[in-house]
Amino acid sequence: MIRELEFKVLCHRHRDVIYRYAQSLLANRSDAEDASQEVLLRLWNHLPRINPFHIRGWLLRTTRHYCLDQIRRRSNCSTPLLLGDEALDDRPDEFAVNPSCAADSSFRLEQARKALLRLPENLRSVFVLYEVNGLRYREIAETLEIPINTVKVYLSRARERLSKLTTEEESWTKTCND
Amino acid sequence: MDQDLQRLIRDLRAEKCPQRVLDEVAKRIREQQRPTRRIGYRIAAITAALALLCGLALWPRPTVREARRHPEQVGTSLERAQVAAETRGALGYIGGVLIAASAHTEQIVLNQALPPLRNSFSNARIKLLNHIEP
Repeated sequence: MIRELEFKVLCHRHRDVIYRYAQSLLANRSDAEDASQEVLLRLWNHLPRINPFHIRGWLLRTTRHYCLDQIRRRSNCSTPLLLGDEALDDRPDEFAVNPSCAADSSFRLEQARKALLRLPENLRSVFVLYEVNGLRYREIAETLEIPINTVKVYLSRARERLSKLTTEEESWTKTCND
Repeated sequence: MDQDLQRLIRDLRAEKCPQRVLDEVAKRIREQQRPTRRIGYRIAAITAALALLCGLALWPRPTVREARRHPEQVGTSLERAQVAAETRGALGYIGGVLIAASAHTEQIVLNQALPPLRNSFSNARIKLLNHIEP
């Protein structure tokens, strides 16, 4: 009974973090949902043995291992890791009032997303964990099992590369359109 | 560019895990638990049945031969009445002792434990009142 209650509380607290991280690694909503399910199920099975002060780190580490396994399996099946079109579906249309602005804004957001997915896994993980999930350097270091200074370096590189990649994507698309 | 990144971050932060994920997890946990419970119930039922059978098999029953061997042990109605009277006396004595012990305990609690408890309560009340109304 207590275990179930604890599990429910943990699920409600950490599910979004797990889902976002899985989605950033797998680039696909349904796969991210599967990964979240699997991680939460593992949490249920290992709950009595997990240190309650390091649950978030454990969850994110498990998510990462699971997602990397999935990516490895995909690459064995020779399915390329691409941004799923569904990732951009059913989003609220913030710029519906001005279609040209909306098109441009959505386009740029898509470019940024693609740029993020083109980052190497370690840089992407650090970027998503820090910027999106709001983890601290120490937590990221524990989750990814790397030193804190490396986390800082990775984050800086991720930002630089994202800027560069987004610019490249935009210029490439403009060239194609011209 | 920075704006694009900021927008991407905001967009990613807005992602929420769908409720169906939790529903599916709950369903899978229930499925995991069900066979274990069934096996547990079965094991418990079988163990209880075995224990009952063993108890019945090992229950000491007086055989006809043993009854014949000790005819003097079968008591008369007079002896039974005597035993009952002695038992009644013993139980009465035990009851009396228990009543005396409880009365003694009550006295001790009233005389020794209650006053300090009352004092500590009144002290706590005074401290609280002082704290509330400085």
